[in-house]
Amino acid sequence: MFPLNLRTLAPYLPQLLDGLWLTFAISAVSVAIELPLGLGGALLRTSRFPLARSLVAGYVQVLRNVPLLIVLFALFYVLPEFGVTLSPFTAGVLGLSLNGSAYAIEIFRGGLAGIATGQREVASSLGLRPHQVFSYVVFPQLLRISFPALGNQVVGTTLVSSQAFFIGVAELTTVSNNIGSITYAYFEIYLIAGVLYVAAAQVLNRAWTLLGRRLVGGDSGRGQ
Amino acid sequence: METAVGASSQMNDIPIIVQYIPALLRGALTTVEVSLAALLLATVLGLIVGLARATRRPIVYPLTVAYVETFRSIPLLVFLFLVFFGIPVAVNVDVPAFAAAVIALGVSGSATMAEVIRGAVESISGGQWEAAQSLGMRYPAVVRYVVLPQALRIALPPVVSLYVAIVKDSSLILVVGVVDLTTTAMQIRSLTRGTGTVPLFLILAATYFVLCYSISSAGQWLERRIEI
Repeated sequence: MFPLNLRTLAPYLPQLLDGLWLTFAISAVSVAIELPLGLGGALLRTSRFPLARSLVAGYVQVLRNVPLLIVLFALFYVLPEFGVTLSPFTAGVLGLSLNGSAYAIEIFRGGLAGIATGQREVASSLGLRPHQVFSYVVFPQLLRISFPALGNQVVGTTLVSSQAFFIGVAELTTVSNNIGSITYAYFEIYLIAGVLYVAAAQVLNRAWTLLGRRLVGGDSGRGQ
Repeated sequence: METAVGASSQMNDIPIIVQYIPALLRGALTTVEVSLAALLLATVLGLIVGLARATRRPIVYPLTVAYVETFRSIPLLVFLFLVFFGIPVAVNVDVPAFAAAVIALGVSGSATMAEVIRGAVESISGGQWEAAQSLGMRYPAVVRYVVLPQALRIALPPVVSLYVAIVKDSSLILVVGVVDLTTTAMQIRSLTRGTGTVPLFLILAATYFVLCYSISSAGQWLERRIEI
């Protein structure tokens, strides 16, 4: 084990960085999709339409009880049976977004529950239209309450993006696996991959906390 | 004869899938075995680390912080690779697939478990500690009779959801060669040359759903029994 055989890995550094970039890309796109989806879903879930509530509840239950891997396989292997062929990256993003949106719905739903219901009535009686009630009264509070949990979700999505390995996306885990099978320096490469993911999680944490201070102010750091 | 694309041609393959049901059941059993073992490991390790984390002792605390931060932030897939492929290369020890799966799942889960336990223990007001100690109870007794019973009750919902997560994450162990439910389904898929894909995935998804939903439901039932 010691000394670590890092020299054999040096020529593969560019590949590794490419993988890291793809991990970032697939995670960023997925987060950009799953958060608004989560918000929309939470609003539907708490709406006055029973059908909407049941559909979203069912959606969340399915995605919370079926592994992400199965969702990815379904998108990549099952959809072609119905004529829809997605690229690995697209299937990866879709799978991560669907999976993440279920958790995002629950986060926003919890946040909505934390806002006193009387506020909506007060705002309406002050003459605010529904979309104004949302924009000026509900959303700012919702964001503040949900912010730490959303940060967890963002980091979570980044970490599980590693499962895109199974559908051939050339992200960090896939690249590490490839480099490992070429160099046989499995321990070193997976150690490095692990360190990179842990570092990424820390960086995302800090960044989210700072973002929280700018956006919603006060102590909105990711709860530890 | 009508030959609609896709779905309807799959429906004829349901009888073929039926002959693979025993194999799928064996796979599901392996999934349950791995999950159960990992779950136990996660609980034991998580309790140890979580309680240590909550007490803030000078040397132990930073170690537990490092433990939790590391194992929460490393993706399970990478950890699986590290344990199954990395360790044998590094220290020349052969790691059996089942053991690698259980270790990776268990240690990874223990990090989350530790945080849950820590949160639950810290949420019990300090006044209880003082009250117990003023009654003459030593530290281990306070933990055993005052803190743990309450903490476990509080920790139950997140622990149940951790157990569900472990079952779901067990689907990843196909990379180390454990023949679990997902592996079996994929093998059957290639055996039937892709013709049984749709019913296979439906069965696969449904089985995990049933497994996980049962655990959540059992957890909810338990919560009601203990009256949280």
